Amino acid sequence: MQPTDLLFISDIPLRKKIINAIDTISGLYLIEKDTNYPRELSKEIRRTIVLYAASIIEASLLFLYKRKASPILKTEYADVHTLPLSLQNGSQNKLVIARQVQSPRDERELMLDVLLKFYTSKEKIIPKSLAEKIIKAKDIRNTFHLSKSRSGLVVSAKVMQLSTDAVYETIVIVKNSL
Amino acid sequence: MTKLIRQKRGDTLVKTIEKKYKVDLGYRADAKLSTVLKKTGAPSLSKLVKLADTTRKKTK
Repeated sequence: MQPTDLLFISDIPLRKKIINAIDTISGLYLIEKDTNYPRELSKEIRRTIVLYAASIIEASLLFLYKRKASPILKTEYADVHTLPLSLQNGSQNKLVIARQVQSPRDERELMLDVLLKFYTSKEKIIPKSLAEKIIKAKDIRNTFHLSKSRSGLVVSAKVMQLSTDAVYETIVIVKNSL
Repeated sequence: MTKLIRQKRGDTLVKTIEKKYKVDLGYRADAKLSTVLKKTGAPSLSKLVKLADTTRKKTK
């Protein structure tokens, strides 16, 4: 069922931020269409649109996770003890014995790639076609880290379009999954 | 002023965004943003704007 509004996002500050982000993307999109701007600047505007798109997707999935999901677990090791020298195998890495502990991931660890994997592989609510669009948006968003390579990542008008398609499709899925 | 525009028509107009970000977008100021976006080849963004507009209307 297609949503008719965003009221299902019961977290009001989040809902307002998403609405603001939609306004921003809209303004940027129309500026990007303006041929008076140099191509290089248009490309960076598209990159910013994709950044906002990825952020809306991430926030929507996190909202769904907080409302509905069983926790995403992480594996940690506690009570680590180094085995005695007689049991070491001569490797530079120490052999240890430890307790394997599974605990829920903290919210700050629930980034887009973690949420995407959870909703594609475990919960299976995100179809492959949408996952591919989200991965593309995520990869472009990561290029805002200037130390990351941008090679092979073209911020075309088509990619920008795919990212906004992904926002809409994600919102439909989140609404229908609540 | 932005609020006034929305209250009057209920839908976001191009001028709403122009005033919000202090830009000239080069489209008719009184055009509906969702319509302009659809016409310029952004159907999903147009749908997102409609969702935002309906949400604003219902939460007034």
